[in-house]
Amino acid sequence: MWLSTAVAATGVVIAFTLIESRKEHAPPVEEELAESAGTPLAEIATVQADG
Amino acid sequence: MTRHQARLITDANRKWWTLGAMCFALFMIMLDNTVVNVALPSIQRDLHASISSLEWTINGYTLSFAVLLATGGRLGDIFGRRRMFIGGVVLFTLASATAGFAPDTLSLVISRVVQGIGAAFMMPGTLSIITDAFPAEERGKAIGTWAGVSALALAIGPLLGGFLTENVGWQAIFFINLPVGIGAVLAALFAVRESRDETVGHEVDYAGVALLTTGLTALVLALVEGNSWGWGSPGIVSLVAGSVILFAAFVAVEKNVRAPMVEFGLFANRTFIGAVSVAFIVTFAMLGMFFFLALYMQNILGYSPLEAGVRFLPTTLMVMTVAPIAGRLSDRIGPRWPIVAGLSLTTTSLFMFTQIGDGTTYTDLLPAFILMGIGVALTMSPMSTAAMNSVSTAKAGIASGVLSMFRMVGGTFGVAAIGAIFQSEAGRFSPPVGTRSSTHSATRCGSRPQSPPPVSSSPSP
Repeated sequence: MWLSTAVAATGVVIAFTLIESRKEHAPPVEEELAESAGTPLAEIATVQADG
Repeated sequence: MTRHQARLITDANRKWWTLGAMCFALFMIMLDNTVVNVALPSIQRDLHASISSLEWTINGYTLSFAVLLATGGRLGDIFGRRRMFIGGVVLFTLASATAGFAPDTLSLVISRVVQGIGAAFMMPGTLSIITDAFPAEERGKAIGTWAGVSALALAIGPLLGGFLTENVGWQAIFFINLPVGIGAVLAALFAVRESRDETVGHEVDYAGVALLTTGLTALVLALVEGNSWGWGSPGIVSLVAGSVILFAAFVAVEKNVRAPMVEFGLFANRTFIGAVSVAFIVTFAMLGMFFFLALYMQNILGYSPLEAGVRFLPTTLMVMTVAPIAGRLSDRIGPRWPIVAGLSLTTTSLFMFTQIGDGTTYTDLLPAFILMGIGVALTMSPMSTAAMNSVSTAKAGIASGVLSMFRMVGGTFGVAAIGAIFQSEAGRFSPPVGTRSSTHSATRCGSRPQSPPPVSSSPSP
């Protein structure tokens, strides 16, 4: 039981240190697609803005 | 789709139907974790099963489930999550039918292994499909409901298993999956939209799948059998050494293939690392404690498996009630503080359990059981939301698979560690006067309980 207690207490420290306090939302799929295709997102935005 | 279905399922309510379908299937997987344990004595009688084959009725499911979770998640990303989910449900349901009809223990164990494979293909899908169906700001609420349903299934598993075994027969605990599986397939067909990772092709990293699966099999097998074979035995040492070599080879291969099975880029995100670490830690602590308490209540307080299962209800009922609230809280204030509060409560509860002495009764332990339930609920659902929100929806399948894999392996480590400590302590001390039966029981527990504890070998989400 002491082992489980120590492990859970370590979890408190890890959660406090690593997990974001703000609400984190991942980048939209468009950004992922652009990255995987090697196209900078700004370029896509420019093309879209140009119509 | 018929006109009636179109009226029933609209764009506005589709996400709720999706959540319902996923919860339905999750209920079945989680129920199967706890429903079988109480039926083992009946299975032993009917099939003339040895203790070893009974153990493999449990371990076969745990092993195939744990080692294929990441693969199931990734294949869902590649070929479509709905497709993998439905395939998993069909496989699980068919294996449930063959388990119910099993004429001998070998057939039963093979069916349980296939059930585990089906569960591994559907489990990551339940979370990734929900992640895809709900916008990020509503995911906490949805994942909280998902976690609550899982706790409900775990809670009623021992009771339902006990009722069915006593009144119908042990086969009924497997046949009950048939209507649930058919319902989940129908709901998924009509309500769930297909989604996949559009950033990758249909390429499968077979080398990565093979190395991760064999490495995890060696590791989980070593953890499951460590107390039985002996931690220093050549078999266990070879399995652990083999798993280390296979994991190293896996990392080397993944860094050099074009479409890796596990993208290590996921681990560049601090929140994702934090969430999977917390997943490992909380299931390590929780399942290790559950394992110990199940044995303590049966072998020292003298409860039957069913009676012991009932006494875990305060924890699971608290998880069921608090998890949806924790999900909403996570949507409002972010995941960090609910997780920190939850793990603090879990630590406090575990500390209270360290105070167990000769005269301890169940009533003395009740506050610790309640605190444990609140703590786990506050941790689990924000932790899952944090992990899923830290990656793009395109990577939801593999993220869900990796998260589930860390939970499963954490739980297996927890049970193995507590079991090893129990065995070593029971062997070290001679029985004090008046506690002979307790120490004898403890020794028996350390090696292998006659009747496995009525708690899950798999963690609640």
